[in-house]
Amino acid sequence: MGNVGIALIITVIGMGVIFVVLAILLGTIVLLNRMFPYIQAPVEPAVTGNDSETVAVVTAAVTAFLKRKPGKVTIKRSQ
Amino acid sequence: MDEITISSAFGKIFGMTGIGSLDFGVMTMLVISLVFLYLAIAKGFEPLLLVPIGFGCLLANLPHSYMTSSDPGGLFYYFYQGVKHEIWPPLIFLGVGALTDFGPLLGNPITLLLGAAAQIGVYITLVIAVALGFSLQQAAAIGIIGGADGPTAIFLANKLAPELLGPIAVAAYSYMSLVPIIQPPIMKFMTTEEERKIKMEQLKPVSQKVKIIFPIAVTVICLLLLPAASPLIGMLMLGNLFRECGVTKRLHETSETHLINIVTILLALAVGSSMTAESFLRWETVKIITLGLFAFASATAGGIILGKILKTVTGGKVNPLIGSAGVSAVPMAARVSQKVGAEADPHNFLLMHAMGPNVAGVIGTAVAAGVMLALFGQEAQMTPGHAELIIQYGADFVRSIFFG
Repeated sequence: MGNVGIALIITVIGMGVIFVVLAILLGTIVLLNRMFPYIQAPVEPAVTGNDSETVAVVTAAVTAFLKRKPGKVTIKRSQ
Repeated sequence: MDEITISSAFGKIFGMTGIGSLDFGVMTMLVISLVFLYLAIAKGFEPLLLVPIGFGCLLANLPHSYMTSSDPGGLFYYFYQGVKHEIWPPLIFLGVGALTDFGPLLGNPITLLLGAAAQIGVYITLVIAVALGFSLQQAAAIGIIGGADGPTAIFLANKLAPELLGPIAVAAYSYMSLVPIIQPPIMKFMTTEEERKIKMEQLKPVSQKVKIIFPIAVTVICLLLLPAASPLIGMLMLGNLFRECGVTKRLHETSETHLINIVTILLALAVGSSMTAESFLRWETVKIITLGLFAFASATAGGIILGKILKTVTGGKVNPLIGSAGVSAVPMAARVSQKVGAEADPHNFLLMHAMGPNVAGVIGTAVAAGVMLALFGQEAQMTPGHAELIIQYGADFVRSIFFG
């Protein structure tokens, strides 16, 4: 048998091995996803604390961003 | 002491300079190195690799510089030991693992098969290379260019055909940089407008536990089946474990930034310094560059064909364009899938879907390299006698199934 014949055999064997190995990995992933399903983390409120603290933090952030003095900015509740 | 005249002194000094040793081969290699630098700097083709490869080639080919990879005591001789002893490619894989998010693959694991299908380019090229007169070991090293994975190509070439390392490395990295040019015509030729417009469902989110266990599971499974692939797959998965486990932030950051950058410089300079006129200016180089292009094209086609099959099997839920990302070239091949899909429908977002087969291609190429090493490595070299034995066993196996 010539080298081309061997190369053809290697092609069949090689592709077969690759598909088998990756198919085993596929089965492993499916199994892992079933064993450890994704659970959505509970969404925590973005801001905690009382109103005055919130207003102070938001005012500081906005004034720093706008580069203005705190007295020049007014924070109002929208609802 | 010999009498020194003005003319003999000039003659001696001229003989000591590199100018006196310039010949056609050296001049050609200097031009080639300048072309690499031009392509990298002016055209943006893989600059992180082609700049050091081009400069390494330039230094190595300047006469009397003693900067080739084979000059004992020269600087690049020591850099080249990292290639020779297979240190740099696995370290690059460590960085690639640290950079890669396996989430899209874990969210849609069927895309693993697309990474497998694209490896057909490796094997078709192997057959053609053998038909063109290369030995089986050389053909295996050339075929792996189709995996579109530079470190794997260098790793395998060094093991199986070190005399072809320069042309193989250059072909692998050049074609990786040309993915956005090579792939789209093949993708458009092999798919219909309707297929390119297929929108895929959003990927399922994956738990962090799965992301942590996956690299460990891949390491155990792959290396039990293909121990020859240990350096590549082991380092790839270690890098990914650094990324996902959440307790090795510093190691993760080092792997994905400084380490991979340092190793890339050393590896690329070593490869460039191996490109001397004697090793590069050969008819084989032209053949390898041509075969490399064919390997890339057939790998792209292989992925798309399985993509079309999956489209049919899933009732149109898979866009065949993501199959082309089954060649490694992370993340460029995935970006090409996104671009071609968006050309058909601007609201079609395939990038994350294509990342699944893209990272599967990295694993698939490493497995393909493991298969080649198992067959042609120093421990086990396949001969015509082995091939006939395999056919005999296969025939006996089939006969026993059907005829008892």
